[in-house]
Amino acid sequence: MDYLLQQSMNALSLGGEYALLALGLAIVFSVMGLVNFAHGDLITVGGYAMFLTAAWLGLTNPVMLLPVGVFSVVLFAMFLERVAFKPVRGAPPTTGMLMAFGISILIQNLALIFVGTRPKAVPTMDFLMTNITIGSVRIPMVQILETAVTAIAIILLVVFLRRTTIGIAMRAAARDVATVRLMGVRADRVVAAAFAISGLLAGLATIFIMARRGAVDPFMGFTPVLKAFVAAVIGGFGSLPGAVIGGFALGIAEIMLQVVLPSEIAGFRDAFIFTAVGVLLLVRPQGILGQRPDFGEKS
Amino acid sequence: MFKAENISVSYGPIRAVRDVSLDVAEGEIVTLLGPNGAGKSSLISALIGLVPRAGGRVVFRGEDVSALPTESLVRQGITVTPEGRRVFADLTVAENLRLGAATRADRDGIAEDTEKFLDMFPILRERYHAAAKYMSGGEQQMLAISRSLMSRPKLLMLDEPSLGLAPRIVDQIFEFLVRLRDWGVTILVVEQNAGDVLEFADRAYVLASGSMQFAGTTEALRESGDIMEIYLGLEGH
Repeated sequence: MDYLLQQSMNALSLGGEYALLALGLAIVFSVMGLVNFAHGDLITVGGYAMFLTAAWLGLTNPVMLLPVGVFSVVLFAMFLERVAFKPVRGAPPTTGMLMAFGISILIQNLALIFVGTRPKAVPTMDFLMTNITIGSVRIPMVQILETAVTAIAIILLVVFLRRTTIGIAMRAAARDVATVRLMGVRADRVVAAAFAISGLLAGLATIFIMARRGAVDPFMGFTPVLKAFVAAVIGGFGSLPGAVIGGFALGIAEIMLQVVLPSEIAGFRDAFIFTAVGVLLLVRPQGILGQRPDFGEKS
Repeated sequence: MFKAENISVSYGPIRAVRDVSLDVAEGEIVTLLGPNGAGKSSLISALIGLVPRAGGRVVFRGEDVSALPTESLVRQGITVTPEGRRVFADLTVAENLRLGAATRADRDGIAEDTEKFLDMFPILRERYHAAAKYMSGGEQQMLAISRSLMSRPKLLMLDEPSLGLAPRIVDQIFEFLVRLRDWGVTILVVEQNAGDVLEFADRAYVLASGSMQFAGTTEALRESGDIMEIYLGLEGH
């Protein structure tokens, strides 16, 4: 029972991390049809921002460091939109995707050149590393917070998308950007808002990823973006509820396999996962909640 | 009030609209007629800035607005109810109307206008919290026009509002357009079927193969039998 509870918390917190990242990918994709493969590198940037703040400014107080992590990612996401994605918005989707790959390579190599290959320690946020004991179960604080923060972020996002004009415009733009412009809503603002939200979600994930890893290195963004991409595909690419469901499904599946698989084949966990995803896509190519593409709808 | 001069639209090597001019005076109902593929929708899209113009200029209320993007034109008081209605299918009626008022900040005024359209089209009140996709074509057209009017436009351009609708519904929509004149809304309505719209329009333009074939009063159009017959498939007088 205790073991089950502990593993459930593992699954929920990992699923939450994937859900945050997949949501960020999905929200940008739904609004502008861009698969932002540089999404994972936002985490890297956030990690380095925290490292540099601690190393240069000597700010190791977590209360100061957490906002640095989150907001550096938000600002960087908005900066990327402005300087890199906005100029190619009218171009075919592949251009945007190549731009994203280019940004990813650029960030990784800048980090290599100016900071180095070796992982750099980000000050551990002690209170995240404490355990909470419920009965005989010890649950790491980071897991409880991650699950809670994910839940709150999703609820706030739903409220934003349903209650604010810009949020409603974002949902409308997912299907028909031209008509949103006919409402007098500036397409620029809708896209900028999508990137800001995507950055905020990635920023929140950054905090938890850093707390777990304790260090930042140039290539650490790759695995998270890959997992987020898989989660978004499982849920149905472009569907926001799908991204959440896909994120949790992936997190739960990974932890379950880790528990169930005998140790000699546990290393093949991801192979099992990807096989399952492949089978899912054969049966339901649009993912769990995705809509079948109706070609020519999007203008 | 609104004047478009020498507008051309090209898609790659294909010229959809060539050197077309039209104007609409304050309070008028003007119709732009023409057969399928004449370039009517291209012209409207170009006037509102959704497709680039290959040349010409657009003047609205004495100001050259040629360089303004769609969003700014809407803020200036020009709006379009697009062909095929294009209601936001997954959004509720309430959300569609709210986006229509996205350029406005006067909450009370928005609430008042919303009420006005819900009174006018009771079906919208009935379906207020339901997704727009569950409504019939005619109901969606009522929503689309109401949504356009939520921005309190001075000039409303409608692209084939009768498309695919039952005659009874078309009558209802056209009656509504005539009433809009009393609200101080100037109207440019694009139609393929000239019959009904000539009953109430003040002036007409006829576009065919991307060029303007006729400009004048509806009476003059009725009297020019060839134009009526060749381009609109109607018997002239």
